[in-house]
Amino acid sequence: MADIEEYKIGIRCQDVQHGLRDVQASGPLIDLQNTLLIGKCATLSMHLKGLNYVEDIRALKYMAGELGITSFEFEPVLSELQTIDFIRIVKSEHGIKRIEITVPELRDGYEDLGRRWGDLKPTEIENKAINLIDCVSTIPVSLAKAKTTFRLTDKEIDIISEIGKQGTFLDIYTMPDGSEILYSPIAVDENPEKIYAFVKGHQDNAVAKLFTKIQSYQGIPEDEVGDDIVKEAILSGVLLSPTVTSSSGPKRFIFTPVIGFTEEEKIILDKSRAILACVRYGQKFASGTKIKWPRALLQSLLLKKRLTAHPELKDQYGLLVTKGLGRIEETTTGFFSFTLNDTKENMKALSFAIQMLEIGETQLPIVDEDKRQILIQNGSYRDPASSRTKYSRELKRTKTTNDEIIKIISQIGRGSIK
Amino acid sequence: MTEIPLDISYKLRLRRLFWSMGYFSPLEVKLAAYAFKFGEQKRYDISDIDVMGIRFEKDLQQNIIIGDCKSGSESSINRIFWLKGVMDFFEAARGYFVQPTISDHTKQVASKLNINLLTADNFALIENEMGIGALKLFLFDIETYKRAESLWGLDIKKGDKPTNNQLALKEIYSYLDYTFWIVEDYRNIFTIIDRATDLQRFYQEFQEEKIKFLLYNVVIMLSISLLQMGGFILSTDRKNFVYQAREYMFGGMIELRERELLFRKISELVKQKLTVEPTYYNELLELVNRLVKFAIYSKDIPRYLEIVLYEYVLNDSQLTFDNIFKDYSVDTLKLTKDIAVFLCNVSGIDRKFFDKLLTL
Repeated sequence: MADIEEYKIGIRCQDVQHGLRDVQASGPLIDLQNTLLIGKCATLSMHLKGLNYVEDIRALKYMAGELGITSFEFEPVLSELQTIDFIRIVKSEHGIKRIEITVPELRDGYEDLGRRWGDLKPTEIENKAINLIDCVSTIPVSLAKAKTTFRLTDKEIDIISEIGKQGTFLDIYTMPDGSEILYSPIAVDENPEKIYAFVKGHQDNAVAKLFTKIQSYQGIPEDEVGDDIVKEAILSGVLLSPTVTSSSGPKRFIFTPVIGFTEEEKIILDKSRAILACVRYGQKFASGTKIKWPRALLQSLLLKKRLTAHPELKDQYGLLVTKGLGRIEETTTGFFSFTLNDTKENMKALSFAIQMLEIGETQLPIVDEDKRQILIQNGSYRDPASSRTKYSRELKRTKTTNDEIIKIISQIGRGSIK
Repeated sequence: MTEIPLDISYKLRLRRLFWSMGYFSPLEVKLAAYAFKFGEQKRYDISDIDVMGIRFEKDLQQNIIIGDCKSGSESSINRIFWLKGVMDFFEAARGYFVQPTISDHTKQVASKLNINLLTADNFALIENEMGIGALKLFLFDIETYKRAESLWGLDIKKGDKPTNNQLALKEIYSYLDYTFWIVEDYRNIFTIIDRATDLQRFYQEFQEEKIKFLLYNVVIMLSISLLQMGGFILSTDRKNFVYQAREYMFGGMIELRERELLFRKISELVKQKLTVEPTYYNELLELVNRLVKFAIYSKDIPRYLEIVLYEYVLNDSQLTFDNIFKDYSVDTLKLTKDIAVFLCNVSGIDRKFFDKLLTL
């Protein structure tokens, strides 16, 4: 069993799964199957939290798919969630009739998930990987020290770092003196204060300038800032870049890490980014009518918890549905509406999306109902971790930008930033 | 066909009337008081209430009505004053008095006491006008009533010495029959769970059907207690749920502090850290939080349990929930299951007893 607390194990399983959601479970990943399974359970359950039941199993499968849970993994994940009493599966002769949800709301459920991970008898390499990821999620460590602390063999470190690179949650950087440092982009997301301190103290630095620019316009399309530094900043976790795919194809939107969210609240933050990324898509790339007043749109959703949708979308599940933020319902007039799932998490996510949006926007005009549909358009969303993974496959690192980013990460790790 | 004794017929019809008005409606609720005699606590049976109606509003505030049925010609005026006393005791908003004939002077007094009078003729007329005469549920069925009666309580032959487990089971019946209705609401949650945990140790010794019937009644009582707690939270400070829940569960801040002190002292004595909260406390809060959050659905849980018990456990009804409830809600059904599963989880009782409910 890993030496860290159970709730941390649950969180780390989720981090690993986020990073590896698009990577086929073969080769070394087989060694992490319990971790991936619990990570998937964590991700799905955190999206179900606050709901009472789900009867539309097709929609749930769709949502699970968007979260990186394939149709083959769907039932094993549900079975695990049932084992830890997070759901009850009600069956009929035709299959699953209903999922009844009992995910805890007053406490985070990561402790239960971490405990279940332990019950599944994780492999030695899983134990070591979880310990290592947790360690570097706080502070980068030298490879030599990590090997001693976690009793890692060369083969084990190769496997873990290989998987970590694929999932972009762990990487090795070679310092100018030849020593190797293990670091994780998760560290920045979970400890954003350090990067904020860095930006404040190094305002002439290229990364700091970029960071400030994005801070004033969260969810800026990558096309508007795209250069090598942005890409490296995303890979190292200094910036986050969820992807939205809809009518105009896939688009990436850039965010800075946020202060004030606990690591247990990552899902809420991810939902906020999803909302805002979706709005930005509607603002910048919608193929039909574009969103003109995004804040008014979100304020209206916050107050009324409901948006009217265009009839042509009746069979489509919107982006927000897949994030567990709401559901599509037919109205009496034959139209369709998007109804927000009124959970504490969703309201917090929506409020925070508005807060992120409010920087640089002051007017609150009348909402144009026709434009609301853009929010509900069919599309897909890729959270920052899996977008980062995709990036890592697409991007060839340049030496200059790599060094710049790694320098910052190393400074953060050593605690040299005031 | 056997003729139904008039008083039972009245009780079942009054239950049907209450049920159609949205009330959960237990029959023959016993009223007792406890006193010490010769150094021992003794129970004194006072009376019983023929039909009680309990309904939770959308904010989980409890609304109680009391029904009294008389088949003979005893003095109705005496009886309605008795009924008024019982109504006051239970803080009931209204009383219902049924008797074949009722004197005119009683009518004048009854309306001042918030008591509805139902003579044989009037009762039939009202049933007809409300369209409930044709409402056929096993909940109002005489055979099911008799069966339920036979499954309740212990049958120890005269002269036989009861075993320890029989005595323990008898205590559970006694608690549900009497004590539940007279102690402070907040005490019932812990007590029910404790009783169910006791029961789990020995229920295998008794007839499964009897235990199943008992357990459903335990869950019904627990659901009432949990909804009462939800009502308190909704009426005080919903936002500070955890704080309010704690205050309620331990009988207020002063009592909570006293309990904490007591636990600290005991911990020192036994050299082991003991907390005032039971191990299942967090799960309990999760459950109550859900009941409060979905109050518009959870308010009907006792009625759903009543239907599962009488239609599907005691009988094999072909009616579905949406046939029975005009405003049937999957949310309510799901929350009903949450309570049963919670009780099983914390007491160790096998979920198989609730198969009929859990597979719905």
